[in-house]
Amino acid sequence: MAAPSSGRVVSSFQKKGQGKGIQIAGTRPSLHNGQLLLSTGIPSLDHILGGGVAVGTILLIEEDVYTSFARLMLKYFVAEGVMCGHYSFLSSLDPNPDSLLTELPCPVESVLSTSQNVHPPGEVKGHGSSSGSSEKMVIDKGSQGNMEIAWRYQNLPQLKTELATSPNIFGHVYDLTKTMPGNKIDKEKLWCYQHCQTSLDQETTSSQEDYVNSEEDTNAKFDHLFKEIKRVIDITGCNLQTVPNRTISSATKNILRLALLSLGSPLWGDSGSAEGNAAICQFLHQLRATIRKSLAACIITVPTHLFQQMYSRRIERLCDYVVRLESFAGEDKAPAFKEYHGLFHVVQIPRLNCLANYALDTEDLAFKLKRKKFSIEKIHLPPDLSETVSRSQGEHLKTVKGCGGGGASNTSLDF
Amino acid sequence: MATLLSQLIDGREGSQLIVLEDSVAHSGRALLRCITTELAYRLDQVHIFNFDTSPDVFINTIDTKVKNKLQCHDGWTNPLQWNLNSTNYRHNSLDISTSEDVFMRNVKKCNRDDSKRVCVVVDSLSPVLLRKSPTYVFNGLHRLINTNDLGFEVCLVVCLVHKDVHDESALCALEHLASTILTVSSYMSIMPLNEAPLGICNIVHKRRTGKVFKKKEGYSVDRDYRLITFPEETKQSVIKMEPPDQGDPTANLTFNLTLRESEKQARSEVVLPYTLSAKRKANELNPGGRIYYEPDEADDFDDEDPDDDLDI
Repeated sequence: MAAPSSGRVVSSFQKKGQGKGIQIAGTRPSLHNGQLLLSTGIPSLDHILGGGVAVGTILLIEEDVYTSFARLMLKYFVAEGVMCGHYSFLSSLDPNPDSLLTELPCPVESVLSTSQNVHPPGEVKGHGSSSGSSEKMVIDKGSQGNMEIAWRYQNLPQLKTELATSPNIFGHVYDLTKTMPGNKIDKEKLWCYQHCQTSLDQETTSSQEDYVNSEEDTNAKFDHLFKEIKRVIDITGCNLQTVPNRTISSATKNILRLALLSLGSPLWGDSGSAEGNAAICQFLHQLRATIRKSLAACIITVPTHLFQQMYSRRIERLCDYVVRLESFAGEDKAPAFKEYHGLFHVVQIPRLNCLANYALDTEDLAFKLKRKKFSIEKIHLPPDLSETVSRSQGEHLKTVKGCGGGGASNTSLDF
Repeated sequence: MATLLSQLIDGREGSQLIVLEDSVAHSGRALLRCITTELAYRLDQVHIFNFDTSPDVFINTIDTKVKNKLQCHDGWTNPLQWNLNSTNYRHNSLDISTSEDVFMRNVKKCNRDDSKRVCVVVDSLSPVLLRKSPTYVFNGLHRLINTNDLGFEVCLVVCLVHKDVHDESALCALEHLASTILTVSSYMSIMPLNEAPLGICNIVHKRRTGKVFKKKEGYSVDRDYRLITFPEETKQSVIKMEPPDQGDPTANLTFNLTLRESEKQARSEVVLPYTLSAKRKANELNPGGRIYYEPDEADDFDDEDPDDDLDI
């Protein structure tokens, strides 16, 4: 537990003795308000949310117009659940949940454990370190050269736009170019739900798949989903209300992660109308009440761009954490954004058992999808070093007249 | 160079649901007929759901070689069962008055056993969307695209929609579901068909991987319903303003601004004031603390002694 030599804050603080909270694999207590946190699988998102998603809350991701990035974030969440050994519940109407499971990002095996990753910050390395989290603490002296005049600035660290700078890695590192092998996914801990329309009236002669009760109430669909969620919470023992004795050993407790993709999409019903919106609001209200009293956390993605502002605002108020993605797909980007794939807005962060919520240090965030990783960064505009900047005084050189006197002497002045 | 429109129709660019939006100003039916013909050449069977036109009129002008691959579902004559007596034996009659799904059920019913790859063309989706709830339509389309466990495979669904009769939210929701959206508008030109397009088609295509293409291409449909496409006009390349030839600004002056070699060398040897030289570094590192005192002339002047300033 060596303290680093510079003044950087490293949370290697460990309490002596048994904490009074429950300790479950894959969770850690929050530094701000003591809530139990889960990792979302994306370290920069964890940093933005104040360490992770608190157990008992709902994270709402307002989808980008073409849905691909929201789906990716959900896949990270599920993959993280698989790696931590948590129970997972996955629901989606449009892409089959089973096909989502085949696309989970593969965890990188060579990630060192947290204790080995604490590089003393003063150490200068000539090249990136070999572990997966190489960009955090490396100062590459070779690239800067020896500064002649500004030598006092030689040893300052370079500008970092990555957000998660703590050397303790909460959560696992993933590689997007590969998918998680099926044998890693523990089927015992996984529930998939895809609402299939079943006939409520058994007397029709047509076969069961044909009779689509599509005039079925949107309420009914959400009801089915909610009942299924409650059933799974009870089965996994995450329901804190039924456990009378809370001091049961932590060994038996586990977290349930719920991932609901594209809730409120057109296939769920007309959530853009007043009745449809009331249905989804009712569902979210019930869901939040249930989850508050269970060892569960939930991520929902909703295509709010299809709804009017007032309906989407209602949905936002019924969830705890709310983030919105705005992708640049298919559009011409402003040149300032050329390395980013979209903007990331944090709409709401909850106050959980405390007076003030976690405050971000910056609101201008953007996300980028690199080949292997999805990350969220501060928008950093590099200095504009192009030739055309402030060159207006360049033209004047041509019109400068000689300052040698009126032509009486032909000698050129020598400076 | 193949245009995105022709690639979508050929199947080189995969798509599951193509929504063709037209308006009063420019009808998309010609393009739809053309797409139907092309698909009939390529696939085993084409199911056509007619709600806007009579099926006979629709398939009238299509090439007779592929007519046997077309299966019309008649939603034009009697879709809501207002006329109880009439039955049309030539085409399969549709009934959208109940809440049963109309699309997949009829495709299954009328699919020939030997056709494995089928597609569905809907002309048009607007009456159904107006009559039934959007949820019904979306669920029906979703079932068409995603049912895999039957003997045949629905490769593509093409729907014509009249965008001026629907409200914004229904159209947005349909576009959200679709993988390709073609919006046609007219192009004013009297040139012959193979030189100038008949209409302009704005394409928004989403691939499964998440990449999105937005293109604007022209298309023409000739008498035999063959498609001619015109690729996108590339934006006029930005005329680069060359910076005017500066020349050497120090050349034609009456005074001399250039340096001789010896002067350049002398300049490089000048030590700038704040550079970290070895001597300075040594001073910073070993301060030492020596005091250098050189007495000034007036320093010996002593106030107390009045005779000190006598100079004898």
